[in-house]
Amino acid sequence: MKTQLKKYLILTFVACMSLSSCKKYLDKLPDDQLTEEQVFTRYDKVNQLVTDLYAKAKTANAPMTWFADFSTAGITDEAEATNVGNNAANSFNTGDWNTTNIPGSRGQYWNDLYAGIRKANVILVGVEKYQTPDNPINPGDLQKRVGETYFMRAYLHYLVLRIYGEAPYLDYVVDVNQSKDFTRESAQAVGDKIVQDAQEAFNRLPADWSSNDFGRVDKGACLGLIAITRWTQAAPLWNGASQYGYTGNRVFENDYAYNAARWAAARDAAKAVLDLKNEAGSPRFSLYQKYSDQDFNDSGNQNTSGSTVYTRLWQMYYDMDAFKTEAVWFVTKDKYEGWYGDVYPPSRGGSSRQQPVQEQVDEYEYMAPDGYGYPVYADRAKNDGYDDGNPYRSVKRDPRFYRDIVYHGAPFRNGTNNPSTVNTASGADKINASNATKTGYYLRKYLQEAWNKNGSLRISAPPIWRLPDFIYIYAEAVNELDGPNAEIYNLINQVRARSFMVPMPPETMNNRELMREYIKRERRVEFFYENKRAFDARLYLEPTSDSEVNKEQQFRSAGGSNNERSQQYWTKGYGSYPKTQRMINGMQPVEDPNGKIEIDGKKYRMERFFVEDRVFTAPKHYLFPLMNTELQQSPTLVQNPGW
Amino acid sequence: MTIKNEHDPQGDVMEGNCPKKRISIHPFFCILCTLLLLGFSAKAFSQKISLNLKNAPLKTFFITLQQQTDIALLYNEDLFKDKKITVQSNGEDLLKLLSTELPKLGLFYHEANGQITIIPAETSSVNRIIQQGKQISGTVVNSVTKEEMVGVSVVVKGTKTATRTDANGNFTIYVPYADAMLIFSYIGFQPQQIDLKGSSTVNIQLVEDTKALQEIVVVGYTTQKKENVIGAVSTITSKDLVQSPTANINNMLAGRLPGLVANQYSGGEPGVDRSEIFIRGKGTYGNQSPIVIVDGIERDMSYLAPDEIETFTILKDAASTAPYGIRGANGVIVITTKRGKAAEKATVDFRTSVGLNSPVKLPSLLGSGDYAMLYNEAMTNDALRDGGNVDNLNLFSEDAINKFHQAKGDNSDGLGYNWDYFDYLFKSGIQQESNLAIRGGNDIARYYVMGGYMRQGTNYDHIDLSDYNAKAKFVRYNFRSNIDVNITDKLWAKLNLGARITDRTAPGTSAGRLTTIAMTQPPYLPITLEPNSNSANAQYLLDHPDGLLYGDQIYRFNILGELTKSGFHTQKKTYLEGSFSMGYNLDFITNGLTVDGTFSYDANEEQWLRRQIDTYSEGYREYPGYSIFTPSGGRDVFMNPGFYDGTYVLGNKYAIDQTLGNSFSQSNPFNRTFYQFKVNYNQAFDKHNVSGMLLFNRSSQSVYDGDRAQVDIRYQGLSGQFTYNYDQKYLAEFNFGYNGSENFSPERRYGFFPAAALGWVISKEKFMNNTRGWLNFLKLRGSYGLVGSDKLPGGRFGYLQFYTGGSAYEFGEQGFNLRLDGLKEDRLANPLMSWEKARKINIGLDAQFLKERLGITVDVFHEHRYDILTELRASDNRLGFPGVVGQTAPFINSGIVNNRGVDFELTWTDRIGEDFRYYIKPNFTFARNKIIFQNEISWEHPWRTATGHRLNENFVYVFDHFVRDQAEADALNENGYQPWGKLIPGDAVYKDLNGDGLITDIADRQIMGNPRSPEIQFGLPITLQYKGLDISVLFQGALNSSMLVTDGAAWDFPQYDHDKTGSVRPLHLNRWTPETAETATYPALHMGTHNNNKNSSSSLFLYDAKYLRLKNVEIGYSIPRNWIKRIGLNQVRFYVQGQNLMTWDGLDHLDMDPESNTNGYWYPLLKVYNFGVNVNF
Repeated sequence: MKTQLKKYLILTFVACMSLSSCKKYLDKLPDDQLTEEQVFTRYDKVNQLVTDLYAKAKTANAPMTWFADFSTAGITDEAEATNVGNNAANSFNTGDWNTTNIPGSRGQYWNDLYAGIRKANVILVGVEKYQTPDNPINPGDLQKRVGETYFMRAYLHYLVLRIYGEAPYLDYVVDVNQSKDFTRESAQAVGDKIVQDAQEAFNRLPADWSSNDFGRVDKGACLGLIAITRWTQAAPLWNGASQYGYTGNRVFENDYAYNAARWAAARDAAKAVLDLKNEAGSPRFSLYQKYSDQDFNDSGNQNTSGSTVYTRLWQMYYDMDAFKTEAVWFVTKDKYEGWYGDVYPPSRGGSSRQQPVQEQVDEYEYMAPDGYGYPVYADRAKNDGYDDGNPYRSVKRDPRFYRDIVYHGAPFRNGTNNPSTVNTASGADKINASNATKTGYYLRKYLQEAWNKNGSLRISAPPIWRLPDFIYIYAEAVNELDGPNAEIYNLINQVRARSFMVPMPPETMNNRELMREYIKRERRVEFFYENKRAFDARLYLEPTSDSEVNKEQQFRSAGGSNNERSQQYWTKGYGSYPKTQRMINGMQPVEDPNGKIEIDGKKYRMERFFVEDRVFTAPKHYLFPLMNTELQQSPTLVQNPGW
Repeated sequence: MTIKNEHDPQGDVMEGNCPKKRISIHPFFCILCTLLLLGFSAKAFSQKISLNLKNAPLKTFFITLQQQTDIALLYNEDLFKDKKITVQSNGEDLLKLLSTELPKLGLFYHEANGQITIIPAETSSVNRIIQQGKQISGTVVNSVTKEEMVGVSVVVKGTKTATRTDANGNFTIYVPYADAMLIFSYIGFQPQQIDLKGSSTVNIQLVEDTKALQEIVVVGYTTQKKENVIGAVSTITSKDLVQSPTANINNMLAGRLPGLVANQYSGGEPGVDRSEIFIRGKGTYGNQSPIVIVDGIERDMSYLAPDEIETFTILKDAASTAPYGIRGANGVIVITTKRGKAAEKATVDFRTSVGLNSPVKLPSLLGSGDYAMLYNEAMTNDALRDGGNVDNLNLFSEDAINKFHQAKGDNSDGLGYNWDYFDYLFKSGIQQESNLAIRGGNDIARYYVMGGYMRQGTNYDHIDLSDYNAKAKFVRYNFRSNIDVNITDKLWAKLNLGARITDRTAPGTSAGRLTTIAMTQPPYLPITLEPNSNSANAQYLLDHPDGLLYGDQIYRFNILGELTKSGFHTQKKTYLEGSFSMGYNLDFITNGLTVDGTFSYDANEEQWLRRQIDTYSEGYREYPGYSIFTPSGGRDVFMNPGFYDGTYVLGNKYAIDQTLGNSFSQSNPFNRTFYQFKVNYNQAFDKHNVSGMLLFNRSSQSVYDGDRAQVDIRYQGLSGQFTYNYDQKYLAEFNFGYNGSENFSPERRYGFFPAAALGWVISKEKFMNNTRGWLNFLKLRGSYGLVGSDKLPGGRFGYLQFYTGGSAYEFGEQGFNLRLDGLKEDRLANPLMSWEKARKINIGLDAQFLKERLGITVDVFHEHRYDILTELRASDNRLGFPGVVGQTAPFINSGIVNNRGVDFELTWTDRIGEDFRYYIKPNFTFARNKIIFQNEISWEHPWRTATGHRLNENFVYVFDHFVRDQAEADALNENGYQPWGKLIPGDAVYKDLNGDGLITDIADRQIMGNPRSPEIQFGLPITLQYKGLDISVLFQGALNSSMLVTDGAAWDFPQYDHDKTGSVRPLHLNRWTPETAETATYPALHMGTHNNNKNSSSSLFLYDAKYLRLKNVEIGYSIPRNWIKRIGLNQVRFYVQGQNLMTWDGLDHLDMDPESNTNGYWYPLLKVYNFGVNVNF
């Protein structure tokens, strides 16, 4: 019947609207998104995953921007930092960092490092699972990408090891449903796994890259990682810590009893870097040697440093040749030109972001009349002409000093790019003026001084590791194992000579202790502001070492006020300031008719002063803490000692 | 809304019982389905009839005839109450059939104008009937004011004959017979039914129906009489909204509706001043925002003109929100816009106003003298902490401080600068608004068209964009055209077009930057540098005749530069909304059945025109594009008052101002198509009233993300609403939603959300007869049901695992110039994920007392939210994946939150004497939630646990005392008692709750105060009317709200914006110093970041944010109608309005508005004084 038919019509209509075909309305997938399979069945997608891993590795450890806007120099006896960026750097100095908040996160802490490690594992597992095809245009690329990925996994674990010590080594992708009860492994075990992964990488990678691939991980970087890891395993923090006043109780404390074999492993690993040959068969790495001792022009091609800064010393951080021959591992384009504005003195429109401190300045040796280099706190310095009231010019200091530090009376460009003289006694650059230095010094290292708020460029300096790292590791290991010899004496002097610095005195060849002191000082000078000091001081356990703690006692009893101590400690000839990371000192100009420094018609002598107390509690501050949240999410993890 | 309501509010014309077997489907149904429009003829008197009835009620006979012919039969049922008919016809002519059959039953018919009227046999002569039909005329007046009423609907009962009263309240109407009844109705008045009894003139007085039980209430997809509503629904109308002279409708709502919580925390900047709105507080820690439905379609309601809104309704319980199913859990806001009304003459309504707006409250900052004094103190304290040498510090001298205290401010006296930047920055702005609306139509077509314009001038002082031929402003244009057409008496169509355009022009800077300058710039620094005679400056001074703007490396932007030299930008937002509906009355199948379909397309876009002077950046530091200057000796020269005669140097790289940049961009274009098909059924069987609605809809919304278009966001679903009531006494309702969301896997995509409600109108019971004297109405109602929410904590397609764009990296020996793109694993997927669910119970009571003068509506509710879509973030203290995994956990369905409370509204309406009328309508909302489960990590100490407490509780370190002396400081430092670095005397010491000798995040924070969002919000609207004078006042307030203020809102020298140090405020004068140790209320001062004293979780900065506001005042005066009638006007009303006039709060010395945001980056709320006139003719 007609009525019936119509009834069915309605029902059919409603049914069709609401059911069958309609359900498909929502069955649409985001076709612009890639699935796992789509990614791993194409070489170019895997290549992009690897690129992302490089970017991750960059934020995980970029020398100039380790604490977001700061390097680590400001938390060490290299420099003082301003309070900008929510006090990212100074929070460490006042002890304001804890298990809920570590300032300055930029990708270098626990969660970010493990996020990077997961990326590496995802690639390794995916390539295996989907049998990713090789690059059809350039066969062999896939295996190289896999090699780079192995390196990254190892490298990111090294970064974990460096600030957290014991840690889980993740060589698999953690499944959603897998147990999340992670446990830490001994620092030595982690180191061994790093070496193993780095070896996997080494086997797949070329000795050097050219053209568009330059900047990728090569065999040298893999050997570098192995050497750095072996050296970390051999250093006091993980090798005989208790001999250096270390009192913490780490999970695998027994693993860290002194074992000389670790130094041997470090020595061999460093040697492998020095001995590496490139694809053409000649040495892969060599010190950057362009420009002569007559070249003093800066980036604006002007000699505004009064012939105190060698062109070579500027260029070694910008010249592509330096990256090609001397840099072992580096990240590219980490920082913009704005960095110059950050570190310039106020008179040049800068905000003196990080200011070198007296502890660092005292480490630059002077060139003695006998043709060798000695520290200014050596007994003989006074006799050789060093005058603490005129400390920068009374004797010729290590050329690296003039490149690294702007001091009262230093020749410098001004805001209109004309030569001028820096004055920390009056005007905008005066010590403690708004935005000005608190220590008496401004940073000069890496500056391209002609830059005056125009033009853009990006800075890739400094490399994470460069050849001198491995020269020093090798020398140190040899010295620790067998004492000094001519080989290491010559190697170190090569690094000094490259900077037009005179050699170490020959007695270092016969005196292990003296050699050790020179190597450490050399590290401080060569690697100033290269993101090493914060970790070195910890690795060497300086804040608890007997000698430094004794010095600190001497300092405390040297006078009634901190300023007095700062001056008395020096005049009493106690040597370099204590390296316990618990203070910094500075140098200020004092008007004095007999002063040797003359600026704008006024005569000054320099006078030491105390800048600030700092907080470094041992063993707490040797290692970074795991966040409370991490311990709450994975209660099987154990907190570092002291936190 | 069905066609029935449009035509025939009584709905009882053709009531009757139609046996089911008689259902038939008219061929036109198919036509409707395809929404084709065909001509339709009803002139079919010669139509052939086939039927076979045996002893059937006469009414059945008539209905059958109607179904077969589509001819309207008019009859008065009383004529044939018990009569039966036996008739058989095989294709007989209609008229012939009637003329043979009717006389047998003592009836006859009369045919005229295409209508057939059934009449009694006593009048069985056609002639007599024609004579009996006659013209009736009369007047309708307001029973109180005795004013003639325009546009009152007059309907002859039982027919479709209708008319409206004219401008003088007069009407004439033709009635078919002398004993006809007339029904008079008008919105807001009680309808009246008049038995003519042969008379030919009637004068009617309509009684205003403020209790409005007859009112039609929007309940989701349908409407109901308020009397019959058993869900929890609150409504306000245009009348309330237009009392608020603000641009954004979001800001008109606070205190108006029970159950609605509105907080304007984002500040009052014109064009970006949206309030956050919650219905019954927050019931989940997931997404909490209600969905907004405008004219049946999900739309943004921002910047609708209050004039174009007819009703604003919130749906609160499961019964009313279940039809929204998977999206209804947070409540629903339903807005209807005004529609045309049949009237003899169109009504024109014109409203225009002009007003002044100014900041409610500006933070007061200390002047240079106090600033300098406190600066010295803070610097000294820091040196003390660090063991540094106080003598080395660069401090203000005593002399300088004294001079600053006496300084006039602009250094004309050589005593230094002393600026009040907020005073410098803000002034009163002018706002204007005009609306013109025309409303009218007839029974065939009705229209409402409106054009609106609102303009807010700038509140910035010193602004001068005239150089750019631009003026700072915020303008809102509103257009609306709602048209209803009855194509035939069964087929109708609607077209709604709405457009809004907002057009904001502001200086090329941002409110954020301007207020940051005001909050941070030290008062002793200049705004412009004085010209001096130093020859080195000669060229600069020549190039900048208006003065050198000051700016240095930290305070890089200049407030005057920002206001006058930054250029301007214009932001235009366009919202276009169009929808088209057609409906068809399916009475021929069964009475009361209609179908309709809607199609709509909305498009929004936003355009930015930036004619700005570009800034440039060095690292994180941003510099202006105009030149700034600073003394070559550094800014410290201003620390010593006097006149600087040295050289100036550039503060940035520009010696002259840059030229204007020019850029144009479009952001967030958006469009959505929507269509809906709906079947309605509405019928009364004797005392059984039944209605049903079944609805299917679909929407597809574009997603543009930068220059990419993602796949559309889609929804589809089926909804139903079924109601039954017996004699409007026993009420029952069943609602459901069945809908799906793309966020879940196909197996888990569709959810069914049922809800049921019952109501009992006790006052209609016989046993209540003796209470009628004082109790006019009493209804109990309750509902229970399930609703859902599909909103993920982030992103879409949470069940699918993707790879997404990663970071790029640079390789290559040509200066590392080869940039390669990266790719990475996206957020982990959870294929098992599904929607969030809410089980809601609501019990309510509606009552009217004392001749309906006192009304009460109370609702008590309990909501149980479960399977909450949860992001397991460690920062929320939820148990997710540890960092070692390398990825955060996928979203899961977990988490339970209960929310309960009460909301009520009382109404008292009365008059004193003939002329004084008033009403007060206090409303109150209380909602308290409780986290039952949220995957929280396990805490050692109960006071640290959030589970079992309210959402967003403030866990604070409990302030104990200030460090008394150096000895105590040393002891505390030695133990590392507090984890934020070294302490000095005067620093804050917190309570060690667990007694372990250390303050830790894990053990020593506890709940204090209340969450930020108030648990109690209330409003008290009062309206008084005396003759032409009316006064409306709205008090609005909130209780059980705390604010944990941080940064610039409360701290001394707070760190701002990477490198700026903020200013100090009067409360910092009460800081701790050795002398004031006993009375200090604020800790020792420190520069910048100091997490110990200036801690974002410190009880020191927890304030009670309760407040009471005089939110609105409106005073109006209507000129008596007699005076203006002659010039053809209906109404002329003048009014003054005020918004945010007074606030009482508990923030005393904090000196900020309780609705501000808590971190000190604020643009103040605005206070408005407005004057307007409303003309209606």
